Amino acid sequence: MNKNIENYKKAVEQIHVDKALKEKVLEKVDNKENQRKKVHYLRYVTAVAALLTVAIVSVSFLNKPKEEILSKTTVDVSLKKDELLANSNIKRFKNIQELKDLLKENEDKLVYSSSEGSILQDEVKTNNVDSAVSEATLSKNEVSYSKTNNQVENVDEGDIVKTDGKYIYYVVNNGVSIYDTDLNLKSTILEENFSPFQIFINENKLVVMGNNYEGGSVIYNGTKEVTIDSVLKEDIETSYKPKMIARVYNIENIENPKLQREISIDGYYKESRMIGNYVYFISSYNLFFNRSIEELKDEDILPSYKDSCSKKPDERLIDANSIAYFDIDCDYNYSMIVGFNINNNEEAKIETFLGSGENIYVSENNMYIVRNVYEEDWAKRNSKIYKFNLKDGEILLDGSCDVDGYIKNQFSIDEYNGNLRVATTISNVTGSWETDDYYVTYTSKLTIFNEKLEKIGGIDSLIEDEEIYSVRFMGNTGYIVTFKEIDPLWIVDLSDPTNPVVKGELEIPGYSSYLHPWDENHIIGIGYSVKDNGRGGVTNDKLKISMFDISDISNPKEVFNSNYGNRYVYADIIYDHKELFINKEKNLIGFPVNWYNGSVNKTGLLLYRVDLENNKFEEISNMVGTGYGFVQRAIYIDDYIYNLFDKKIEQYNIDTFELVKTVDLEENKALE
Amino acid sequence: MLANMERVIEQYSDMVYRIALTRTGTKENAEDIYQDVFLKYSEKNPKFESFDHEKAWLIRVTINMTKNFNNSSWNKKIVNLDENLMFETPEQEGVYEVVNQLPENYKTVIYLMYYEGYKINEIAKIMKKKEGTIKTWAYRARQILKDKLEGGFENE
Repeated sequence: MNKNIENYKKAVEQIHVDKALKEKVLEKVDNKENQRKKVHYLRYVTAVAALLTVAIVSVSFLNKPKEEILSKTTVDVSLKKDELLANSNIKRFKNIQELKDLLKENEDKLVYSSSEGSILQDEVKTNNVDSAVSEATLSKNEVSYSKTNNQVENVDEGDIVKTDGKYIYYVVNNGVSIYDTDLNLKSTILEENFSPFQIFINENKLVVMGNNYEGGSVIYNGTKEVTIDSVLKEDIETSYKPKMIARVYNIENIENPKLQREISIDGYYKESRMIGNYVYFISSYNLFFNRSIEELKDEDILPSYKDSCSKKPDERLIDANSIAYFDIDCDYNYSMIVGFNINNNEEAKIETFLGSGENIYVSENNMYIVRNVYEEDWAKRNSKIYKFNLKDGEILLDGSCDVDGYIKNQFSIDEYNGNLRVATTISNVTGSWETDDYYVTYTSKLTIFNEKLEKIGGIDSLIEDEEIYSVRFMGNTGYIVTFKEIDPLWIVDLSDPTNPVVKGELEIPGYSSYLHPWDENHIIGIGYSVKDNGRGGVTNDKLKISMFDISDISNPKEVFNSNYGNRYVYADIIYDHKELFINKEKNLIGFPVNWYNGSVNKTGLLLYRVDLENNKFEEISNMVGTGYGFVQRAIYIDDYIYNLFDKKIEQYNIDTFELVKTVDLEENKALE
Repeated sequence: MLANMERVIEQYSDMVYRIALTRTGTKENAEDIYQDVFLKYSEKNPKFESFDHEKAWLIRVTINMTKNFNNSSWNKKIVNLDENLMFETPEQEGVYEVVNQLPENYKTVIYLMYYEGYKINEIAKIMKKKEGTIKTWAYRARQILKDKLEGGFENE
């Protein structure tokens, strides 16, 4: 057998739960058992009663709208609603029965979305290379500091760390810790049963978004005939009913953040953006029930939400007739997009959509949700794009389109002058998986849509048999990296959206997974170099950073590069652009790395000084040290670099790269 | 009743813990999930047709409880090996670490396929996904493994 599989199995075999924990659980179960016996009889009786009640009143219950439970969204939305109804592709349910009918109809065509999701950013209409490259401008206090590496200038992306030059706000240890620049802990925000994921800072406001894990709902596996026996006997499952929560804190007094607002909504937190004073976030709610749909109550089907700034601050169900859908696309997922103003108490606006997407893209004006559509041929994936207008907190479903192939990540899509540019990879399969002789080939494609999502131009095939590895759209130019064994960097002229033209091509070994503009004439690529794998193909060799000169787009050049480590070095920047560390002023660029080389674990910030004059990257790797734990982000404030680990924060001098201070997060004690 | 729970915990402890650890990445979270799974079992006290049915149920509940635990885009977050994990040889640790870096659902499929020995259609039933979805996840997982490990997880 394959040695890796063998080693994997052996490794798993060695993982055991602590004996003490096993005993503890057994004890707990024992106690519960005693309690259970008392309740069992009562439950049995209640179950019978409940069944009877459901059976008798189900019809009338469903048809009677309950004013207390259901509520309508704001008036503004209904004006656009009428407009949209005219567009026959977008519908809203007349009532909950219509929703149930649709769900029942499509029970066979059940489509589960995977838990993937990332937001794609749009580019501002007036964006050009300069603004994409510009860094944090000096604040009133003349302090320069890192900003989140947003894809689009004025659209802030939620992240696990933010800074305003005075304090560091860090999502860690299931809470948000606030440190000053000397790494003194000022305050910690910890909410019960809550896992924060991302935050925003806006003047004196801190927004914390994440998931609430308490509570569970019991779902019974229904059979056609619901009898008392079957309820007690059949497959009984429990699952958490997750809630996504966004909380706004006033941090004027940094040592005492005050909770000002709370919005909670069913589902899992997916992504968020802040545009001006408006925060938009998305929750994905997977409908999961095993009972027959007709038997479900309103609250089992309709998502609920709660807004402390609403006139009716109690939890409410979202009205069936404000849920939008496309009737060729039924999905058991809701996407709830919420918009609210961080500075006032205006009620939040919510758009609910029966559908979901793996990737999400937001511009200053629109949000695009992209969903993978799997064909019969399982390796073939196409994409469906749903467009939502965003304006002053309002979100409105505006249309959809199909595109061949799948996108890599948020940088694969870009809106410019109203047009949408999409770079996709199309996979073609020959052979079969079962007989293990399948072979997948790829084509890379560029498609351009107008404001109405009608296709107006594109390039059907950039090159045969290569997958897209990275994309960066910048105004009228698109940079696309495809790869199979060598990595062509394609430069596409997009100035005429109906006729995109490949202007330049550069072939180099290895590939870039992330492209970052350095200045008007240069782009940096981060990825891997490759080597022969001895079996007719290639495999990753070392982590690589490249400098491309694009001053002449018909003749791009790789002017210098630097290799690091080996292919086991993990640099999350490959997948997450927010991991990038950049200080243009000091010509520094870098990213956290994690490296397990078989005996030792190394982690830290891998930094390079860009030296265009001497054509090189100067590697600064003393901030990569041995030890467990891993660096998630690196930021700078004034003269210091901060490496944010899961268990500590290190402070380095930005000129000498000497370690100045370390703070242990678990105990919040300074170590040096 | 209690005798039954003893048997259940004895029989499936490690399995539940291993799946929880795979999906949450830390001992603390895995232990919390581990407790919750068996508490739920004891609360609901389901009746199963067979041990296979019982095992599948436990796997599904564990997966549901750990769904979206890391909540990042599948390809965003890297979960590092819990420092408490000790393996006999560096090769074993290396392979486990590589699998550990896979996205949540991919590594779950790898675990179910290679450690528990389930077939695609069985995994699809357990995870409540379409067969096509599981196939895709398995395919892509193997692609990544082939890329990161000499020989990947290819059958010889």
